[in-house]
Amino acid sequence: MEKSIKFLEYRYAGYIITLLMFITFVAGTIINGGFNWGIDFAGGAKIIAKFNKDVSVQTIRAELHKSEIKAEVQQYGKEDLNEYVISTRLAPQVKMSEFAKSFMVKAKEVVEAVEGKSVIDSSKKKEFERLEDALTKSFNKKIEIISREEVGPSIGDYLKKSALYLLGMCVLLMSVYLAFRFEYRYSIGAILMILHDVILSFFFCGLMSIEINIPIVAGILTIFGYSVNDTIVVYDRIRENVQIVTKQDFIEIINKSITQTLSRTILTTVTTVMAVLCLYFIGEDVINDFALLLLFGFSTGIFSTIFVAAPALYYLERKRTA
Amino acid sequence: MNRSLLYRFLFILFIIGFAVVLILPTVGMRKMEVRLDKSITTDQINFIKSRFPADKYRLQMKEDSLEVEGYGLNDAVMNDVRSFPGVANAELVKHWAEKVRFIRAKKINLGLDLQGGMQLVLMPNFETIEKRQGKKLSDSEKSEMSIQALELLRNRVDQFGVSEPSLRKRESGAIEVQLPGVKDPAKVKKLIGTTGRVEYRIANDEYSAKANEWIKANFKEPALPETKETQSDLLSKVTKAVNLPVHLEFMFFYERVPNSRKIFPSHVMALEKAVSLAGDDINKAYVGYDEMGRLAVHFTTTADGAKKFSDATSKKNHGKKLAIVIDNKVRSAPNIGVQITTGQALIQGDFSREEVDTLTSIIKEGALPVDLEKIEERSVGPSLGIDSINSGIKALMLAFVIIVVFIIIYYKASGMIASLGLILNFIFMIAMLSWLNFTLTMPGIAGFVLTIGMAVDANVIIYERIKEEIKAGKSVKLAISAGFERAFWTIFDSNLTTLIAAFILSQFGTGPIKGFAVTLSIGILCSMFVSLYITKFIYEVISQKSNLKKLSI
Repeated sequence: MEKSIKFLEYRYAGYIITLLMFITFVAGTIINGGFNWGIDFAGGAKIIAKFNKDVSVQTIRAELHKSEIKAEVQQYGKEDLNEYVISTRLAPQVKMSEFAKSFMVKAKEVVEAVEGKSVIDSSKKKEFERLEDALTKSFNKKIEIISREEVGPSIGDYLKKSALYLLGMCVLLMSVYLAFRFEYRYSIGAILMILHDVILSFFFCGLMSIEINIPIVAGILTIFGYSVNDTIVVYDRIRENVQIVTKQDFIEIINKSITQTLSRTILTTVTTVMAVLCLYFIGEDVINDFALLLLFGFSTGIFSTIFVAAPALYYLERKRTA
Repeated sequence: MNRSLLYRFLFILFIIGFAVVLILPTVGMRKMEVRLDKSITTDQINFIKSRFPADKYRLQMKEDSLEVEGYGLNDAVMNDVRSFPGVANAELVKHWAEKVRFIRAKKINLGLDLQGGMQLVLMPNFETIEKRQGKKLSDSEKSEMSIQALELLRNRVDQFGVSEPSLRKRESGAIEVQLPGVKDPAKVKKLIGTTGRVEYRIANDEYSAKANEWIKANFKEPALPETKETQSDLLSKVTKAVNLPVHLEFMFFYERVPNSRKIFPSHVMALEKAVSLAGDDINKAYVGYDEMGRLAVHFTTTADGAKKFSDATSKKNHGKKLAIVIDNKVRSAPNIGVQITTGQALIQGDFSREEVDTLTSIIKEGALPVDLEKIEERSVGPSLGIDSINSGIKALMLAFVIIVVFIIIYYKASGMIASLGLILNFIFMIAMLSWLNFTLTMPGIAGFVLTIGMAVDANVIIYERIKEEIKAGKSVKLAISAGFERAFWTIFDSNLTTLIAAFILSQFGTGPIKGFAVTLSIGILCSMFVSLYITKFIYEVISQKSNLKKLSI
């Protein structure tokens, strides 16, 4: 008989780790000033622009600051390409169309300032239509807008709501399925684990200042699917072992099951993590954050299977037999 | 090999062969025809040629076009080339697999983020309408209005010269417009933000007939032109040729492709320049039946409109047509039979439900124009898309190589079988995605890469199980069959829950996420099929060997 590792004996250490992670992540999020909602959710505008001249993040930011635009400026892609992501988030009350107009006007000022031309008098702002035409022309020559995104505030609210709704639906459907295929106790364990992973992943984004956009939500849901996947493999083994040996201590059965499936867990995680690493190193900026989140999530997935889902099952079982 | 195994073998071969043909338009060698401007300079030609180096592409100069042949030609490249100076148009030539009707292979659909283009989400401005009408609008009225606005937009998108525009209704009355490969975003926005103009004008059959005869005789293209420039070009020629009186002008009559959302110009119609009835002279319009029980469009005019309408339908116009014109396109032209003074009328004919609905929407839209406000805009240049595709392919290849090396080292010969499974998984995924017409997006590519990592999972579960059974003292043959049998439900349960997550993800409104969810789901399904059917088949064949003592695993 193979020896099983006594995972459950270390469960208290596991709880402490979870707690520590939670505290650090939340603290980190607060220090960072809350979640970094991307324009998908907060509303706003984002452009990726290629400058013909050498400019730096500082000059762009300073010029934007002069014209009273709060914008984030980031280098995009390789350094010598002179490509920058410039994004502004919407103040809640500003109407989208007005915002877009003033943004375009200000963007032009910035461009001209960067290019060494005179800054346009702000009293001319009302002539935005004429400006916008002129702008597209000067943009085409001096700056190339590679991509442009604008999201209105109503969409952001709608997306936030529907993201939450979907998450709820996911948890519900999955636990119904698990209750049907296993027993309700298993599905409670799985839900706890899902909550653990989703909440931690979310605050992980807060800690790392990852911009929360739609792809990130997709990432969180993937983590969720992945860790359920992981948990089910272990649960499946526990169920099988319970049927084979009824008399054995339940703790022992859980330990044995985790041990038996451990090589699979490690192997699958290794291959998946390899794929994610490839994404991380080769992918674009957006995919980079996405990959980082997945790396965290997949490792948490294993951890939570062993230290959340398994102990939960143990406590529920003990309650039932007591 | 016994008979049942043989049949399965043939079935598997068939599936693989079919899948390989399906992916040819996506991964195979393709041709692209680049039509050049007459005024193109040598520098510009050289610039295009430098984009396609001779060691990778075969270039062939023709009279007014350049034919490029090679791998990696897709919609993103096509859109990029279209934006080159001196290029009139670029079109991918259909791959032979796309022409075989029975197979229906297609090239993979690329999302806007990959092929470049523009997405707009527009919201009808209900507040101004509520003000105008002095009452609150119910939800069903709102949704009806956005359908009207959608019909109006459909009427316009063909002016942008994009090949596959997509328009659909979204949550709470919003309208999503996707224009892949659009060249001029500023122009699009200008055209889309304004309201439609619906007019009713008397048609002149004599000159309509003359014009169409002339076109038949002198215009040799298979279809009438669809872009604004080419259309006005043709119309001015026709106007000269038939000596059109000054009080008339020509417009195109548009028909709808049956069972589709597309409209196309079908013939030319001569119309009075004077507008008989403006769009807002109509009070309301609804679908009903005529006295013969056929579907008909009923409408009533305003008090003002009733007078105009009575004039328009007076005896001098009997037997003529009253054209319904929206944005300078004739969309319907019913015959005038009797004078109508009451302001209540109906348009009858052998209409299908769809035709009646469309016509009603158009008339309503004219009666109550809706302002559209832009609430979301995304545009991506094609070059960014090409970069994304390239880095996606790189990541995919690298992940694939690393994982294959890893599993072959770990599982030896069995690892090779798993790698074979991985390759098949690849082929099946691309085949399914293109065959079912799903759209590949950047998150979708990430999903693709992720799926390779996860696809190994099923094999790992099976192999670890087999190893355990061997350790427990079972013979190799028994261990294999027990391994597959026991792993089945584990794989089934664990994948099904991921599928649930992916399914729910696919309900999330926005395009890229849908793309990701779909790729993930297809990846899961393919990996289940490969591991539980094809890999299992290979092991059953191996088990046939009578003296099987050891398994390389």
